[in-house]
Amino acid sequence: MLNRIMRRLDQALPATPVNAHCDGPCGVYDPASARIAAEAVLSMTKKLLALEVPDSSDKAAVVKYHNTFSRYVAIKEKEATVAKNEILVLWTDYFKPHHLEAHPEIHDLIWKATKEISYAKVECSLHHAENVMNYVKQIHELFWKTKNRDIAWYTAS
Amino acid sequence: MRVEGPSMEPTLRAGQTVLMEPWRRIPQAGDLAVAEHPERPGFLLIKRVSHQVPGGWILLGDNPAQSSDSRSLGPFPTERLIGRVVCTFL
Repeated sequence: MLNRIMRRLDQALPATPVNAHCDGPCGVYDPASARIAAEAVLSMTKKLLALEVPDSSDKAAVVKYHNTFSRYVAIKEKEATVAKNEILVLWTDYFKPHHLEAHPEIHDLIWKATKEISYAKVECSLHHAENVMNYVKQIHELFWKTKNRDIAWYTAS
Repeated sequence: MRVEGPSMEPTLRAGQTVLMEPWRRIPQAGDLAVAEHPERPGFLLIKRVSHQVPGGWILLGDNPAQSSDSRSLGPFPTERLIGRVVCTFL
């Protein structure tokens, strides 16, 4: 009886929605993971640029040089992909339409950041690697603003 | 108010109607609370009161596998707690 009355009432005056809400499987997001990967890209870029080319007649030194060079490049490639993926996960999973209303620059910032990571990956450029860090910092600031938290930016190196 | 989402299953299902009244006493563990999302002004959540901590109240969904609650959002400040569910309809 009461339920029927409530249904009638509800049809006449629709109830306010109240959300038994779920963001996702864990709801744990942090731009720190993108920052760590971006730092690795910057570090590898610096190390590659600092590598001294050995005398070509010293076979052992040449082998060592190529081995080290390849390892740095492999790490730079891998960590750049990690950084890009971490940023895209924030974009597609964490940021919601109401964040976009408050911060319309989100799309452009993500686009520029991930583009810059591609340049840092394709080239061995201090300029691009430093730009990546700068974009990740901007994402860090925007992310914590959406959570009304003041989390200071820091780097591991 | 009409429930949306799965986080309070099996107690409440999406589509159910609940009646809320503004708090007339201090929330107690087990109360069903309507509260404003700490990061989304005006977005109302329905969760169960767990306990009080410095800085507010710990609110949890009855369905932890599918719930965004104090585990990720932290304590809800007292002023975010809008009211208590006094009656649910089928």
